[in-house]
Amino acid sequence: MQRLLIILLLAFGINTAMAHYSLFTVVGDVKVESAGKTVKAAKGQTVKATDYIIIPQGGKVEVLNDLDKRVYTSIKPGKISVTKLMIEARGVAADNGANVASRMNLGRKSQKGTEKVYVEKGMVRRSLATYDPEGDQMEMNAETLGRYVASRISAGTLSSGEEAPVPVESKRLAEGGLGFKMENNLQFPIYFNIIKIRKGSKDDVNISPLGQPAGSYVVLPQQTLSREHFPALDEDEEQILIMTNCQYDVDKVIEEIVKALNDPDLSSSNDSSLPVYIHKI
Amino acid sequence: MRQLPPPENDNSRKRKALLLIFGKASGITGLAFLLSFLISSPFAATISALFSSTEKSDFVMSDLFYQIADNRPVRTFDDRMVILDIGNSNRQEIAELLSVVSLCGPKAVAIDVNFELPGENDSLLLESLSSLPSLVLPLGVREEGERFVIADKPFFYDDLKDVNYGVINFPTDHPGATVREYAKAFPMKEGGRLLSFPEAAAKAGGYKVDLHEKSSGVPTGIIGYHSREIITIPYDELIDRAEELTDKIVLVGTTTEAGDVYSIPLRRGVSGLEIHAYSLSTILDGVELERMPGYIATIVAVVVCFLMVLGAIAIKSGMKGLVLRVAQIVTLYLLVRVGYSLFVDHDIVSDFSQAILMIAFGLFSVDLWNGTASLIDWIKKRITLYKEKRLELKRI
Repeated sequence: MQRLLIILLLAFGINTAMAHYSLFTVVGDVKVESAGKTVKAAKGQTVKATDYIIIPQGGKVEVLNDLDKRVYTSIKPGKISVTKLMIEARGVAADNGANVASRMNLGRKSQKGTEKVYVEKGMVRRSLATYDPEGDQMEMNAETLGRYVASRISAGTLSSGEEAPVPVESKRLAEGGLGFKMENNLQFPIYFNIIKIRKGSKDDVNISPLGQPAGSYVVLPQQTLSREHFPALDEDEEQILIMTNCQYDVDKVIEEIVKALNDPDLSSSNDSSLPVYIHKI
Repeated sequence: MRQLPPPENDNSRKRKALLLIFGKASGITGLAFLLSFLISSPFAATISALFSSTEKSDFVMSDLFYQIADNRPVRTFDDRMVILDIGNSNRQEIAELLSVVSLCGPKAVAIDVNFELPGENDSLLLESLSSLPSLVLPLGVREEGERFVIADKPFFYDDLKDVNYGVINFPTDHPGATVREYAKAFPMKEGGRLLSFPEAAAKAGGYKVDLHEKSSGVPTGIIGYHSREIITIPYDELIDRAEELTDKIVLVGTTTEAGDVYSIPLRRGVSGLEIHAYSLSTILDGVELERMPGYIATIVAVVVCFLMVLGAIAIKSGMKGLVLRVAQIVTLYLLVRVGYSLFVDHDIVSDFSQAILMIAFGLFSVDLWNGTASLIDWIKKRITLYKEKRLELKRI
């Protein structure tokens, strides 16, 4: 009887150690250390309870436990075992006092500047069909576009010398601001947006004050579009105009640019056949 | 011989003073309640100033609980259902998708797309629909008196057999309001009841569902939005992820339709399909979130207000203002803390907003009461002085 009990306990222990855990979400350069080997973490990757997950600063990992059908999240940088990650997450989730206190607005103001959250996406689908019946059916792939822009940034080939297919003028304003004017002398609509990139940074890519956060600019044939931003712009930030022949989701493109800038493999591609023009204004 | 009343001892004096204070506090609390019926106050401004919350015009306290709970590092992965996002697929493409879905062995398929008018070449669509197991299709209803009539239905409503229908209407306080509840069943004008879309999907999936025959009106349930992970498969990944549909309730629809977005306690811009998914997940849990009875919230409001008013009139020291403000913040924190614990640990949705309102009104009423009492005293003194002056003049 005792022997049977020991066998059952052993089997349970083995089963628990081999229980199905998988990486549900991976954000950032997360690594998994298993049996002495360290590999880059990937979504869907199976992990063992005894494996270690190495989370970088700003990274995030979510582990799906198939046994209890729960997703455990950790954003704490460092090395942590899968089991400990789940235990800690459970502990934090159960701490009602800390969870409530974390939402209180008592504390120092954020030292960062105004944080922009781009959640309003321009729903141009219906009206776009009126503007551009053909273009309504097309959307530039955000991943492809993002990687292409990232490759140009990495290669340092962003300059104002690139030949844009339409006349684009930009000028510095008296107060330090910036203005641009674009004239569409082509036979089809053009789509563009303007992002800003901090020089030397791989993460600081955002929508420019001259950009269009809801959707993208659409300029019809025989139309001119101009915009001016009077307050001084940060001289360490470059304002980059990205022009294509169909719409693109600037939020997703920005995400892909940042991803690609942080991964040399992704930003090495430079498909010059893409109908994309990048113009520094 | 006239007998003088015995001198009051200390205890008797203290008791009298205490009774006076309690009496005054009770009166002011009553005044505060009266004011709360006459003047509306944006209490949400108070709570959202102290607690981080998304800015919404119809914010209620329980929304904060949802947000705190959803922010926890543990979520439940719902493997009983899956959303298939058809994006902007046209009818032909939807028909093709559905024919693939039927091969994936789902338990039930609930389609949140209304094919209102016949189109060209609908034969593939009808064939695909017929091949789906335990199919649920949407209906829209319109209120007529206390009952409902069908307002939106597919063109094949009377033709397709063995189809379950579910009503997709959301119960909200007003058009555009946050969706916090799901309807269970709708009493129809022609008799009987129609299940709501998520209830119909649950029933089609083999789960026991109450038909709510004995309920009056439209019974509703509170949607448990927080800490849930529901898988969404984009239509272009269907073939690669076909096995994820096996033995599941599949909800088919689009999450990017501009006219089908709503606010939920967690965020804005959520599609109707996702709300149905959350509702279905809540139904399948079999554990209902219960609303705390209103009278308990009222009792808490009375007690909290009374204590705050008592402090305002009993504390004589110069630190009164500081003490009251600290007490206000601490009380606010405690109300949120208790409300949150009831929410996550006991599935009780409480609303202590009245208590928060009463704190503000209580302190306002103290000033009003004291100010009015002082004004009356001043008027009395003026009248007395005036009478004395007149008497003096008469004597002269």
